[in-house]
Amino acid sequence: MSLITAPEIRAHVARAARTVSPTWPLTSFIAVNPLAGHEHRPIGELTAALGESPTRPETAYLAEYRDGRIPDAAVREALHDVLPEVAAIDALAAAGRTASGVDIALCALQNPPSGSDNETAADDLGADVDQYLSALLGRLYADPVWAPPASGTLYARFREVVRHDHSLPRASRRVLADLPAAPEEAIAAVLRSTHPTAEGIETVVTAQLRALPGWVSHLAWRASRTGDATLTDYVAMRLSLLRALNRDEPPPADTLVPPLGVDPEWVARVSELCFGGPEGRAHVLHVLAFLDAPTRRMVWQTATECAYRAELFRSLDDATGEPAAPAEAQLMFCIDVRSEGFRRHLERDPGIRTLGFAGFFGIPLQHTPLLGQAPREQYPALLSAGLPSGEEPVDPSALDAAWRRAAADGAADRARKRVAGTPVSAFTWAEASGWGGLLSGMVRPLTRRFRHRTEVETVIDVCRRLPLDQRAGIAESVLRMTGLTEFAPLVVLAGHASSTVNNLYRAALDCGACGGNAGAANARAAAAIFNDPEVRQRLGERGLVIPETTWFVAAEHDTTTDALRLLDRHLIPQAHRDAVARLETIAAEAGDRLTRERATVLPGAVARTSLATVRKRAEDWAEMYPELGLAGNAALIIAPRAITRGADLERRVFLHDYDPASDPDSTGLANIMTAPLIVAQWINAQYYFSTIQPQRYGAGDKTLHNPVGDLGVLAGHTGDLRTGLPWQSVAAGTELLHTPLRLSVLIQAPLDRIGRIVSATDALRDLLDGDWITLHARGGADDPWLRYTRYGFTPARPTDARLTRDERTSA
Amino acid sequence: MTQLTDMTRIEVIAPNDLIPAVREIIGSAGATGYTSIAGISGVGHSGAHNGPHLFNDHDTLSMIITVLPPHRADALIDAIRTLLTGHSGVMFITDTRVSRPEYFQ
Repeated sequence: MSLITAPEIRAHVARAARTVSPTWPLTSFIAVNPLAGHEHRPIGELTAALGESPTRPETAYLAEYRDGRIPDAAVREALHDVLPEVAAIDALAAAGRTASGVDIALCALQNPPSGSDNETAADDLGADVDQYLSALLGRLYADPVWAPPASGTLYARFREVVRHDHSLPRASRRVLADLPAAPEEAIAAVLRSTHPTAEGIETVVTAQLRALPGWVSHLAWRASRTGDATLTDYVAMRLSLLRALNRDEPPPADTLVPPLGVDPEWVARVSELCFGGPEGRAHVLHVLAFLDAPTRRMVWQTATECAYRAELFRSLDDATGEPAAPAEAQLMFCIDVRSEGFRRHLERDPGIRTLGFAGFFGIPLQHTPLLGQAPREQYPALLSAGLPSGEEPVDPSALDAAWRRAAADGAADRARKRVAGTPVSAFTWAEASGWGGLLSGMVRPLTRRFRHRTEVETVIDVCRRLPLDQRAGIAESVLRMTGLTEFAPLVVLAGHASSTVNNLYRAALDCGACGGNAGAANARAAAAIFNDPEVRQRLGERGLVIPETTWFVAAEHDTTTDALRLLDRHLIPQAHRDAVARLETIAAEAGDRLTRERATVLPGAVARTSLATVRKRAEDWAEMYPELGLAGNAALIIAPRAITRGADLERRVFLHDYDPASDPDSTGLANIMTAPLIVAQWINAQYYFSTIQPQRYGAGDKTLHNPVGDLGVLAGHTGDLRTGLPWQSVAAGTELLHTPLRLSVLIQAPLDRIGRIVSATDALRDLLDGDWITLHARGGADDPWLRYTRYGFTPARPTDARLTRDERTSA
Repeated sequence: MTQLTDMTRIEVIAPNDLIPAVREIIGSAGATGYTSIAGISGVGHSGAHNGPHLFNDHDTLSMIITVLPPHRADALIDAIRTLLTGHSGVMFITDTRVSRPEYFQ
């Protein structure tokens, strides 16, 4: 290679790929911000950078404005946020009338120019090269027969396959048979013919990455996690195919939105409305020059968020604080928004206290279940490794029988998954299995229940594997991060899982903090650590005294049926069994109330739908909406539960407990802001973009899904691998189930601590300064909420949000 | 005195999400290995950069050190410069000597 070296080629590919967000396989589906690679720029600049609007169509916002869901006050606040230049324009006078910049902008937003939503996204999925490449990648990664050998590369396997592929023209096969052995050489061979500049190379490479964004996201995951493919392989493959098939790569579309002049009819209309005639046109033109279509949409989007936050602050007024009654049980749940409903209903009993913490309970596991063959990554995607853990049977003699049952069940499951997981064979399988498949599908939920009944009692072996210092460190960090320093006789660590069948996106409903797995293993491991006498002694030496009368119990909250299942019951001491029984009664009643509440918003259910009918969704193979997952998520509150207890937050808020008094050096707050906050933003952004751009960032309609192994889905039997959430996760038909709002973060903690953590953390600075999230904070419960800006904390501007409860009452 | 062989040592400090690409580029330049150090923190021209976080390996910096013969170094240096241009990350290059050159050829 003469002009461009191999490392240089790889550098250009890596550089272009910095905006690619990896997509996890279905079995460990992790919520990610599909535009995380763009977080170094403000979200408002996405339109210019990508040609994609990060907002909904203007007509959608106008509809919400006209039916009162977005009040004027919220739009005015949004104008201050998005367009401070306009907000700074004081009274403008013409024809005897006056109007401020905000008045004119508000009028203009209510009466936008025509054709403002005319925006079409380019769709290149129909290109035959991409259809071929997508099908080939599906074959290579979904079918072990075709997979690249362990020691080989994706590009090498591609060379072997395509030269013999008779679906390609003979002339093309001849070209492909002569491909160089190294992917960099193949790329360079194409680039040499055009003598591109450095910018030109990047343009060519970027065009390849944008051609099949779903597969590219998956290969980015493989490059960083499994290491058996690189995006250089992919770029070499696509460029080689284009050349072999004589396809001229079309020049990449100009993604920049051309600057448009202000529509004179719009100016005239707004002038008429604001000033009663054309006399105010100069003033209006001055304001409208700021209000191009992307900016108008961003103002509307911000207004919907201001409106939500105003309601959120009002909801906090309903908080009743912690009750005076002594705590009988404390239940620590995942911060997942679905926990909020369960916690709220549990707390109707004054003896119950609840807390929020990330659902892996501070113990990242590489966990191998007792009868499992491979470890599961039970830790947040932010971490790169987990602590090895396993299970030991309480009664070793029960193990042999359990193995035999597991082997029989596993063989059938593996055969079915293998056949059904390949796009082509899945159709054959459906034809061939026919009634047998239907019957087995009906029987499987019954056998699953039977399997539960025959589970072998085990203990998680973390206390044997981890040194005391590490165990005590894990326990201390959980206590300091949540402020849990006084203990009830019973402390429940409740992970969560979703009961759902025939659902490729099951992992999206399980616990993200546990790597898209059920949270039971982490809860059990954490409980084992907290019950360890050596750990308690070490904690006591550090001022964290857990009474001998306190027992930690693991549990799993089923988010589909609202059941709370206590785990490791065989370990519960006799002295705590009555308390456990009472808690189970309280939890069952709370679960019933929560199911009734959820039934009011579940598609196909109404308030009077029976509990049994709602819960049957967990076993219904045809159910599109077993539950609503994290739809509706909008805010994260990092504060003591006392400020939210009693308030109905509508299952939309991530709740993380935090008490500055337990965290003297701010380490706990830093851990919360650099992990749970980031993960909450990933989840929020995934729901956001899956809703506003379902074609590009969503997985499409579930009814059309066709699995590609466990990697992802195709919508139909061809096309790109889909990323993001299915349409049924965010909408029912044309009705949105999820209102896309950027995450509002509220923190109650000393402001200087928060400021220091933000200043020292690149990821937080990007999110805040780029308006990907908002942050309000206050030092204590009696202080007003302040808004974080890049210039520091400032009073939250309008209406209720900035005022304390007393100030609002007196006003 | 022990016979030593001249080599070029390249250190790259970059955000973690860039590290797989750095490793890939190092491999393509013909380097036979590298050393990786996670959880790097510091202060640069754009302010403070992270520190090791208890529950977040993703948003931190790592350092990768590789040593290779000088005649292969230029291609790697150019490539890393291309990769880092316009983004955070630094590269340090020093002349060094090794006692067992066959490990680095």
